[in-house]
Amino acid sequence: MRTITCLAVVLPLTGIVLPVARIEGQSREVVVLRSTTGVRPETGSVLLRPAGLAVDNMPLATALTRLSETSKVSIAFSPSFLPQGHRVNCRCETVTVATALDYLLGGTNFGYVVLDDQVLVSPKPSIKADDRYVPTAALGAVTLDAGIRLAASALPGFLTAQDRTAISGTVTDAATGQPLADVRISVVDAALQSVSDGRGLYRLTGVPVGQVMIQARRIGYRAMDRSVTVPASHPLTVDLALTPSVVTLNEMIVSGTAGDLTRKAQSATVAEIGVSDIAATTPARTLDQVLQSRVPGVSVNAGSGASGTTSEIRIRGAASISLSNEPLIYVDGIRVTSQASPLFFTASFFLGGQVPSRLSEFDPKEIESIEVVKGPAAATLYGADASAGVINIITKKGPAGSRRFTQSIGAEYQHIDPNFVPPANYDRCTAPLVAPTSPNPLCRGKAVGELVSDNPLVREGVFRNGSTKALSWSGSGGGPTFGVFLFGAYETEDGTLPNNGFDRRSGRANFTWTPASKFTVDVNAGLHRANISLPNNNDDGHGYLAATIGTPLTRRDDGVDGPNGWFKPDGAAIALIENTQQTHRVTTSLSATFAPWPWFTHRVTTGADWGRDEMLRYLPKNSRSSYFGSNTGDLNVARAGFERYTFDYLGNARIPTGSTIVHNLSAGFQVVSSRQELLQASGVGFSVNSNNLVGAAAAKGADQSYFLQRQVGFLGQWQGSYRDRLFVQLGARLDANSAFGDVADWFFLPKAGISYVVSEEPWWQRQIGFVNTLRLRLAYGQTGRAPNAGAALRTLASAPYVTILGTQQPGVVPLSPGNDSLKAERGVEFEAGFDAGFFNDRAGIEFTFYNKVSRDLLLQRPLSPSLGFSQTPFVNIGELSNRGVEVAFTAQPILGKTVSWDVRVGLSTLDSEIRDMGGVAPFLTAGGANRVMVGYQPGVFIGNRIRSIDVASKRVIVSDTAEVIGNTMPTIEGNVSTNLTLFSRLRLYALLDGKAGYYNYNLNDLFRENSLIRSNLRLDPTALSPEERLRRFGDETPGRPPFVRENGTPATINEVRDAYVQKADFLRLREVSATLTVPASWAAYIRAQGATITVAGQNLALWTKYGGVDPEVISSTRSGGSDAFNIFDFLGLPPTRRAVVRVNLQY
Amino acid sequence: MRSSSAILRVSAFLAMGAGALSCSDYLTVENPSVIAIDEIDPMADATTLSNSAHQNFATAHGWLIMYSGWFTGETDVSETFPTRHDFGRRAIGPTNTNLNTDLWAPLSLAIASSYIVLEVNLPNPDANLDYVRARHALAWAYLFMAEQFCSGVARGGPELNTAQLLDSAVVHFGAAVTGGNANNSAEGVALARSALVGRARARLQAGQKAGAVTDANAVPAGFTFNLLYFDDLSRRTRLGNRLWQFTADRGSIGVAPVWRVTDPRLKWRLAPSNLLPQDGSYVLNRGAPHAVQDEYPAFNTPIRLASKLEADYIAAEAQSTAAMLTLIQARRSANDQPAYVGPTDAASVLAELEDQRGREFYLEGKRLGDLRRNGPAVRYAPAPGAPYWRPGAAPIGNQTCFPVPQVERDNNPNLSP
Repeated sequence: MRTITCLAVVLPLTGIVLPVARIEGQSREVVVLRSTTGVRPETGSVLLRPAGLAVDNMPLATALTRLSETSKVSIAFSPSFLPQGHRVNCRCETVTVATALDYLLGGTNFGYVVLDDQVLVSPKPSIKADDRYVPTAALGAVTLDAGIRLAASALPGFLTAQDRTAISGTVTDAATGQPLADVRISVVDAALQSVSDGRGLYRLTGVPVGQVMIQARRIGYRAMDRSVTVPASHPLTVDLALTPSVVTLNEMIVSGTAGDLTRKAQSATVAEIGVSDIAATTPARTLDQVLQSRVPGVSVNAGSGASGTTSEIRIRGAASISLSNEPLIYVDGIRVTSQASPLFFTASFFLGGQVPSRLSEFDPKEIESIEVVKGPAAATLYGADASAGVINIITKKGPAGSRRFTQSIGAEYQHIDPNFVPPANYDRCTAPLVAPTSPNPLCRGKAVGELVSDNPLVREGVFRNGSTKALSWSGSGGGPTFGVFLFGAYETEDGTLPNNGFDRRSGRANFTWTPASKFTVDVNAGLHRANISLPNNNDDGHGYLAATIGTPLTRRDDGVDGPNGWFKPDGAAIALIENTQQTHRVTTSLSATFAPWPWFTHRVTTGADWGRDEMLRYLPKNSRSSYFGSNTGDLNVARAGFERYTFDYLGNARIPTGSTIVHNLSAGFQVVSSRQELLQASGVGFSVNSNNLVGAAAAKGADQSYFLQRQVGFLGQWQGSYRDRLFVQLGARLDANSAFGDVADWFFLPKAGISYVVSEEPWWQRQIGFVNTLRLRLAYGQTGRAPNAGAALRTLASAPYVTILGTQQPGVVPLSPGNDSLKAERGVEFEAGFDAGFFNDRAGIEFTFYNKVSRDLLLQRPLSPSLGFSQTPFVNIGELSNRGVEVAFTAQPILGKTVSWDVRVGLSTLDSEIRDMGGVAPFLTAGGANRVMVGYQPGVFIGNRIRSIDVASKRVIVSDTAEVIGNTMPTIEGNVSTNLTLFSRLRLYALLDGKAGYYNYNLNDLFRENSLIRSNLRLDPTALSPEERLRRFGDETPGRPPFVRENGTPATINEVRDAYVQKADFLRLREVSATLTVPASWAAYIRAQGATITVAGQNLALWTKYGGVDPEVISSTRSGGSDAFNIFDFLGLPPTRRAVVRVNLQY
Repeated sequence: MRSSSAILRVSAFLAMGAGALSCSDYLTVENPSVIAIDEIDPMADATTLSNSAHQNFATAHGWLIMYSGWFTGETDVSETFPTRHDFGRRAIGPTNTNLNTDLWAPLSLAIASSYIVLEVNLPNPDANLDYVRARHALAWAYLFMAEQFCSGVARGGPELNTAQLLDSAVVHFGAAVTGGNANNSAEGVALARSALVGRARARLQAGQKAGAVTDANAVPAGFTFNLLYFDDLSRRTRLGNRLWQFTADRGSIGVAPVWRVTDPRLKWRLAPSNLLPQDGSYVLNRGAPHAVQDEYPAFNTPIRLASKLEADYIAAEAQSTAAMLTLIQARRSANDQPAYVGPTDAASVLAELEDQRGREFYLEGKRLGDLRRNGPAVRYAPAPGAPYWRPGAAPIGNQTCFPVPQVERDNNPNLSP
C-alpha cells in the first residue's frame, strides 16, 4: 500500500490552488481526478454525499459556498473567474453533491474535478497538456510535474482533436501469460471500444486527454476497471493482465434488463456463452451445437443425423402444450424468425424430423456471445410471447478507435462417419421361391421355411462418409470515431446419404460510429444464402431407412422390376428424389444510443429480418415402378417468405440520491410485426424430367397461405441499488397482440427481484475468507405466449365444391367456432439462487431453483366431432408446471504458466407436470403413443402395461386401460467439460454429457418385429428367451390374441407397446478437441501474426441401454403444439460421428 | 442544446402517443387464410353453402366406401397402417385414429353443414333448391351413418340408435323429394329421384318394406344419380375420387381374391407396374397377386349414388323370394352369367340376391348395410375368429358396424357418463 501526501500546486491559468498528492517513494506528484461532470462517481466519493442544499436566486459563488457548508465537502473555486451576475436556483436537499454541482454549473463554462476529498471547480475549456505528462508503469495513476493545468480537460463533448490521443497495449492471461483475444476494452463515458486480436493487441484512439476509466471484459475472466490518466503528448501504453475467474458478477449483460446492466444487478439468471472460444476450440460448427450442453436448463436435441437439419431447443422444459416451445431468437436486439418454412410441416414436403435449421443461418464465427434468458423471471421485458425463453445473439463489432485493421482466416475440414449400421431384414423362404426356377437368389435351392437375410442399404453401399469444408474470413478495425467488422464464410457439406448436403454462404458487415461521445450508432447487416438437399427419411416409404422394413423375399436376379429387397423404391431411385431448399436471408439492425445528459440515455433499436425459401420436391418420371402411385413425375414447388420488423425504444435515467443509493428508471416500448406467406404449386405428369416445370405438368394445382401478426408492448422498470451491492428491481410490461384482435385486454406482465452481493459487505472477508464471492438472488416475473393471428375468431375455411356440371366452384366449410375471450398464455416464474466464488474465485458455483408455471394454458378443448368444425378453438383453461434446479460448477484447480486445468460441471433437473386441463379429457397426440393428461409431463408415453407373463400358458396379462409408461423429456441432464492447457500452447478439451429419466418409442423394432415381420428376433425362435418373446410379441398361437386384458378382453401389440417404449437414458462423449497455438515465429513463415490448429472429434462414444440405434432420434416434425409431443423413433438417421481439423490464422 | 433536447422529448412523446392511438388499427387481425364468419351472408351465399354441404357428403362418401369395402371383404388393406388393418379385421377400437379422422368427422361435417343451410330463412321454402340440396346431402349422410355406424350423433346431440338415424334419413329424404319436385329444375328433379331411392333404401334397412317398395317403384326407369368428382391436384382429398386416390397414390386397396371373378360388373385387373401395393410384401403374405379395382380409374371418375337398378333390388328384396329370383335371373342374363340353378328357398335366394347385388354395386358402399340387414346371407365378409391373412395379426373380430369414436363420447356431454 502506497501512502499519499497532499501538496499544493497552483494552476497558473486559473489561479486556483490545486492540492496534489505525492506517492511515497516516487519523486513525482500524482493527481487523482474526477474529470467528468455528471458521471457516476465511484463508490465512496465525496460526490456521493447528500448535498442538502436549497437556494433560490442566489449568486453562483454563494451557492457553491453554501453547498460546501451543507454537504461538508470542501469545494475549491476562484470567485473572480466565475461568471459575474450568474444566479442560480437549486432544490437540492435530497440529491448528491455531484448532481447539485451538475445543476449549479449547468450553462456555465465551468466543470469540476475531485482531488482526494476536495472538489475543484475550474473552467471547462481544456488546457493543452504538454510534455510534462509522463506515463508511468503503474496503471491508474500518472505522474506529473508542477504547473499542472488539468482542470476539466477530459470533459466529454468539449474536446478538440488535439485533446485526444491513443491507448494501446497487450492483454494477457494473468495466470499463463498468454495473449488473450476477443477482450473488449472500452473507455467509460467516451463510447470508445476495441477488441483484442489473436495476439492480445488492442488500440483505442480518440481517447480524451486526462483521466479516464478503461474497462476490460471477457467471458471467463474477472472484469477489470482501470483509471488512467492520458497524456496529450504521445500515445499511452497500457498492458492488461486479466485474471481467470469462474465468477463474473461484473460482466455486462444486455438481455432482458434495463438500467444497471452488470450481472450482479440482475435478480434473474441470464446465461452467457462466449461463442468465440467455442467456435475456435471445439468441434461445434453450428449454433445448435454451440448451445448444446453449455447452459444448465437449456436442452438441445438433434433429432436427425441428416446434414443441415435442425435441433429442438427447450429451456426449462415445455412452457406450452398447444403452442411452440421454441425460444424466441433475437440478433443484436431485433427479433428474428427461428421457425423453418411451414412447408416442411405439410404432407407435400413430409420429411419427418428433418427440418432445415434456421439457427444455422448464423455462423458462430460472426457471433461474439449468446445470452440465454431462461424464463419468465428474466424474460418479462420481452413481452407476452417469451415464456419459452429468449436467446439473444450478439454479433461481433468493430473496435472503434483502434486505427488498425486485423484479419482472421479460418479453414476447416470435417470427416463425417455415418456411425450407423442398419439392421438386416429377415424372412422365411416360401415354396415358390425355393424352386430352381425361382428368381430369388437367396431362397433358390434352399428349404422351405429357411431363414434368409438381406441388407439392401449395406448391399448397395448406400451410406458413405460425408465431409464438410469450410472457409471463413473476418476483418475488424476502426478509425477515430468508427469501427467495422466484416465477415464472410463459405461452407459445403456432403451428408452420409447420396442426396443429402448443403452449401452456405454467409456475410456480415457491422459498423459502429461514434460521432460524439454522447452518441453511438451501430448498423449491422447479415446476409445468408444456403442450398440444402435433404434425403427422404423418417416414416417415409420413399426414404432410405424404409429399406429396413423391406423383405429378402422380394430379391430377384431375373431383371424384372420390383422392390428387390427394398421396401419400395431402391436406393438408386431414392437418390433421384430431389428435396431442396434455397434460402436467402438478410438480417439488419440499427441501434442508436444517445446520452443527452450523463444521467440519461436513449436507446433506439430497429431492424428487419427478411427471408425467402424456395423449395422443390421432385419424384422423377421413370419407366419403372419406382415411386408409389406415380411414375410420370411428381413435382411440388413452393416459395415461402417471412418478414419480421422490430422497433424498440428504451430510455434510462440514473439518479443517485445520497452517497449510497442509486435509482435507475427505465421506460420504453417495443413493436414487432411478423409476416409469413407461402405460395405453392404442384404438377404431376411430365414428358421429360428436364422439363419439370409446373406449367409443363399434365395436372396442376396451387395453394397459398398468409398471415400477419403484430405485437406492441410498453415497459417500465425501477431499479434501486444500495452501495452497489444490494439491488432491487420492479418492472412491468403492457402488451397487446393482434392474435386476439383490437378488442382484447392488454396483457400486464410484472416483474420483481432482489440481488444482494453479500460478499461485498465490509465484514464478509473477515468472517468467511475462503468464500470470496457470494451473491443471493430472488426473482419473480411473468411473460406469455400468443397463438397465431385470428385464433380467437369464429371462422370458415375455403373448400371448393364440384357442381352438377362437373366444374369446380369456391365453397366454404366451418373451420373454428372461435373464442372471444382468448388471451395469451401466462408464464409465471419464481426463481431463487446464489452465485458463489471460492478460493479467490478459482472455484465457483451458480445454483438456481426455478418454479415456472404456465397459467391460462391454451388447450384446444376437443369438440364433439359431430359439431362439424374441423378445427378446435383455443381456450385458456390449463396449468402446466415446470420446476427444478440448475447447478453450474466451475473450478480451476491448476492455474499456472505451464499447466492450467479447468473443469465445468452442469446439472439441471426438470419436474414437469400438467396441473390442470380445465376439464378437458386427456388426449393423444397424432402418433397415438403420447398422451396429454393431468399429473404428468406433457405427452407422456402410454400403453397397456404388462401385468404378468406366464411362459407355460403363453398368457400375457396387461392392464385394462392405457397407463403411463414414462416421460418424453429428460428429468435430469448433466455434462462435464474440461480444458487442460499445457505450456500455454496446447489446449485439450472434452465434453461428456448425458440425459436421464425419459423414454423414446422404438417404433423401428415394433414395426420390424410385429407389423412387417422382418426381424430375426421375431423369426428366429432361439434369438430371445421365451419370456422376452412373450413380452414383445405376446401369445403367437394362431387364433389367440397376443395379449389379454385383466378383464379378459384381447389387446393388440399396438395397444401394449410396453416392450418398445424404452428408457432413453444415455451418456455421450460429445466433443473432444486439441488446439495448438502455433509459436509466432512459426506463424511468421506464412506471414501470419498468429495461428491455431485444432483437431477434434464429435459424438465419439455413446453409452445407453436404449434398444434403438440412438436415443436422441426423433422422427416427427415437432412443429409445435401437441405435435411437439408426438415422439417416436422410426426410420430416422442417427447423429453422425465427426472428425474435425481446423486452422485459424491471424493477420 | 436544451432546445434540441426539448424537441427530441416532445417528438418522442408524440410518437408514443400516436403509436398508442393507432394501436387499435395496428392490432387488427390480418389472416386471409381463414374467413371470418361475418364475411359470409347466409342469405346471399346460400347456394355456396348448400353446394359446399353437398360436397362435404360427396367427400365423406368416398371414405365410407373405402373403409366399408375393407370391412366387408370387398377389398384388402394392402398398406402398412395397423389402424386400417383393424378395419380389415373387423376389430376397430373407438380410439382408432382413422375412425374419427376419415369417417366420423367427414360424415359429421356433411350433417352439420347441411343443417346450417336449413336454418337460414330462404325464400320460397317449399321449392328452394338450396334447401333441397341440403336435405339431400343430410338424408344420405344420416343413411350412411345408420348403415355403417352402430349408433350415431348429429351436431353434438344425443346418441341416436340405428332406427332413429334411419327415421331421420326418411324424413329428410321426404323433404328432398317434395322440394325437388316442386322446384322442378333439372337438378331439383334429379335430387328428388335420388332421394326417392335413398328413402327406399332407408325404409328397407328399417324393415319398412311396403314403403320401400312404393318408393322404389316410383323411381323412373333408367335413372342414375352420380356424385361427381374433380381432379384438382391441390384438392384431391376433398374433390377427388377417394377410391382411385388410395389405389394409385397410396397402394392401399387390393381387390380381395374372392371378388376376382369374371363378370362385366366387377371391374378389376392385376396391378400394373406403377400400381403396386404400399406393403411390398402384400403378394407374399396374401398368397395372391395384387389386383386393383378398375371401377374408378381416375380422380374425376364419378361414383353412382342412386339408381333405378338399386331401386329394383330394393323392391325385389322387400317384396318376395319370387321377385328376388326374377331379378336374379334377369341380371345374370344381362351380364353374361349362367342362370341361377341353386336352391330356391328364401335364405338361398336372398344369399344369391346379395351375391348379385354385391357384383352390381361393387365398391359403392352398400355392402355394410347389406351385411347388417341380412347377416349370414352376405357372403365373403371376413369370418369372425378366422385368421387374418397378414402374418402376426390377431384373428378377425366380430364387429358388424363401426363404433362411435371415443373422441365423440369424451366431448359430447350428451354421451359422456
